[in-house]
Amino acid sequence: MATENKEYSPYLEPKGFYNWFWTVDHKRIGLMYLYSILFFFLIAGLCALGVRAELFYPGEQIVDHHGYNVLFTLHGALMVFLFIVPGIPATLGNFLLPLMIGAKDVAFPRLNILSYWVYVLGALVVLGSLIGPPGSSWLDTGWTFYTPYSIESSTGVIPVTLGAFILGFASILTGMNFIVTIHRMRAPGMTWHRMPLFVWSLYSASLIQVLATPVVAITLLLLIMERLLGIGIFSAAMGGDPILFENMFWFYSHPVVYIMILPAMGVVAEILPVFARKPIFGYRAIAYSSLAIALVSFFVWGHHLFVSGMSNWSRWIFSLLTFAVAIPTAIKVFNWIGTLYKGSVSFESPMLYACGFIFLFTIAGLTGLPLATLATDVHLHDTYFVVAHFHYTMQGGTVVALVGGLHFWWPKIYGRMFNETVAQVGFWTLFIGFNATFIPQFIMGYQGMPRRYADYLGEFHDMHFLSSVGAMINGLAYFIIFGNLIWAVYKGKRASANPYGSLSLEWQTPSPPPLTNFDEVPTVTDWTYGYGDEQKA
Amino acid sequence: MISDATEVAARVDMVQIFIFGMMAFWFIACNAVLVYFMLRYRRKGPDDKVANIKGNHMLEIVWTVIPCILVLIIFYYGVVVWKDLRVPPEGEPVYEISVTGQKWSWSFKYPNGATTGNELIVPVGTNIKLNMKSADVIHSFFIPEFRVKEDVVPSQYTYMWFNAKYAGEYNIFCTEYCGKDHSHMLGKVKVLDADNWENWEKTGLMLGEEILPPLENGEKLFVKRGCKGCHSIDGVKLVGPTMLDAYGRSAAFDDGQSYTIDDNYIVESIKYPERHIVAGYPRGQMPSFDGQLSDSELSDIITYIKSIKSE
Repeated sequence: MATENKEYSPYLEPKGFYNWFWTVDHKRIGLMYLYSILFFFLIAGLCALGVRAELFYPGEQIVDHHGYNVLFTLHGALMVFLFIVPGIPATLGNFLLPLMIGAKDVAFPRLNILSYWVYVLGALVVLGSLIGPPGSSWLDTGWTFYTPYSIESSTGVIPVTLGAFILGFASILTGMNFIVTIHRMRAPGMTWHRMPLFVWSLYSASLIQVLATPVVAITLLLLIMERLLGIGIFSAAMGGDPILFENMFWFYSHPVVYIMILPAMGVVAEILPVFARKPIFGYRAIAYSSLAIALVSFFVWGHHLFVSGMSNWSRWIFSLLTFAVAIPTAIKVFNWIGTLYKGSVSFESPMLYACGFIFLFTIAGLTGLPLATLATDVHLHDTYFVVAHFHYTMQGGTVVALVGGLHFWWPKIYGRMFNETVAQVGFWTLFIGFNATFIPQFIMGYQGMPRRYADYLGEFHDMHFLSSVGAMINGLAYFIIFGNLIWAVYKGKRASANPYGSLSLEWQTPSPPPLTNFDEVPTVTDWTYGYGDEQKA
Repeated sequence: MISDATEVAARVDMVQIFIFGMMAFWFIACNAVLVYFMLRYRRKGPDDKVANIKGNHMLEIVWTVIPCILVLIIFYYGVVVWKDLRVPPEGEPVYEISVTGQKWSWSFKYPNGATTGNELIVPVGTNIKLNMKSADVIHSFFIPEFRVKEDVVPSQYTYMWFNAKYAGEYNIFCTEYCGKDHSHMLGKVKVLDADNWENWEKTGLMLGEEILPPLENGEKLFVKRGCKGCHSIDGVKLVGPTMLDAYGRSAAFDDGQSYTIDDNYIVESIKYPERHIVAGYPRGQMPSFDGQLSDSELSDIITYIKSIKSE
């Protein structure tokens, strides 16, 4: 890397553990987060493949019932707390936010590295639950920790919930840092309405991170106290109320879905205009709908409790509130599609991911309608229909956007290009494998197949078998995709500063960027999406 | 696709079809336009003319207002049908059955004092209301064909109702994760026609069914009441002790006493499992079956347990 340009020192230098571990540079922290979350993505993904392998046929093949319960619990807990919540904000967000607004770093660089260390600590505590025999100490409660089962389960509830509690602080630190950075660190001329939409989406997600995470922290602490001291908050045997746990848990865990998906929407809004060579359609509508989603997300948690024994009044009120989320979401989809209108659209791999995201996300969003509707949710609740629905948002939405974003910004991050043909093969493998996994799950869910079942009735075998075959293809796709990206870091062609011709600020500095991001503080005179404007050429 | 098992289920499916239709329309509309734009405006060269369009206020208003109206219609239709799915018809008689969920079986208690395990016996064409409670963790009672589901929780009673149109058998699933054998917490709804129901209510037998001898009946109860989920009959250690050679052996309790396992201990363990726990097994695992089994059923179970010998 040192051979090319001696005039600046890219942020990737100097190397060495010490230089990275004690760094306060947002780009390095973003990369360390990236390596960490991808490690857990691999582990949690293998757990998912274990789950699907067991479900090829009814009966017990690979693992016993407890083993199966451990697998789906680990899959969910690692994916949620260690992969997808830090997901886009802590990786691409950390790397890009200061670059995009023309800043040298985030507002509190040392809090930023503290956030990463806290994340590592939380991850180690979660992994601590794996010390001890799998049969009796590996967590089997599901990632939702519903009481009273989580109070009486003999497995490692305390290390995992304590780990999640610690991870919450990492999330709060990142969120707070981003909010202050966006308010205080914008370059001259970078007004709110000139900011890239990815920044707007990070801002909205950060608000949720700061406001919702404390609630789950309290909830998990109460659960730990319940187990250690028997204080009787959630345990019915002591006069507590297990439904209270569900309410408190989902008060965080529904908004957290938008921590995951909002930045993903932001990534898509960055990719589309660059490859359509056209201004984003409805900038303000997209920006404000991010804020609207963040706001509404706090009032819909009750739809997780439609059949939990909640009062009939609460049920229909929460149904109505849940539908409110559909509106800003629909607005975003329409504006993304509108961006292509009369553009000049090319389909390099980042654009394939962005268009794939829109396709998959329409399925994710529309299948939410029968789940928000009371009459139909009663039947679909806790079946595979729900499993398929949220995997379309989480994998089809967030992961597809993350992978697309990594392809888009990989040349900026490492200064190297990946192999475009392999990237396209990777995309189509993922697209086919993913749909093959989850479309059968919609069908069997509608037929009444409950989720979290280690064994199932013969009538569901065909759909389970198809889904498992799809899952193996889905898993294979990630090896192609990340194999290609890793290859690029070492062997890829050198990338220019701005290979896609983007107007956004992060592309107006060398690839990879220097430690201080810009030689001099940039002055912004126009918005980010001036494609097609004559004066911008 | 439309369930005909109850009158309300068919109406729920009409809501579902309405929503599916809406979903199909918007899915096709969005993606048809997306794909059309992708093909129509694909890049032909670096000199493509690109329209400088930043948005359209009229369009934003239109595609905000139309979804608002549509979701309100879906919401309203959903609530109206759900009200009938949820609340038994006013002023009509209901037949009430108590349901208890416990790891990992269901038990049912009828107004005449009869009890059954994992088999819910109901008359056809009658409003059935289930009053449900859990003896341990949260479960959920789900009858897919009837489109009904409600959690069964330890802290409060919950309820559901249905009115089966035809005699027949329907699946019951537990749909709230409840531990190791969650996926085996299955049951059946047996909907009986009027004659059969009358006979069952009087005698506890289906028409044409013989009274089983104690040993066979004991074995049947052992399976249906879910004993087998935790107590093996082949010496394997599950959640609780195996029943193989259990009868007559001397067992050490976790309070230091020891006791020979006899009829009295078996009855005590079934009714009040927490009183004496065999050393090496955790407390708080087994739910009480007090009041759920008749004396004659208890005696049949004892007969069966006596018979589980390695020779």
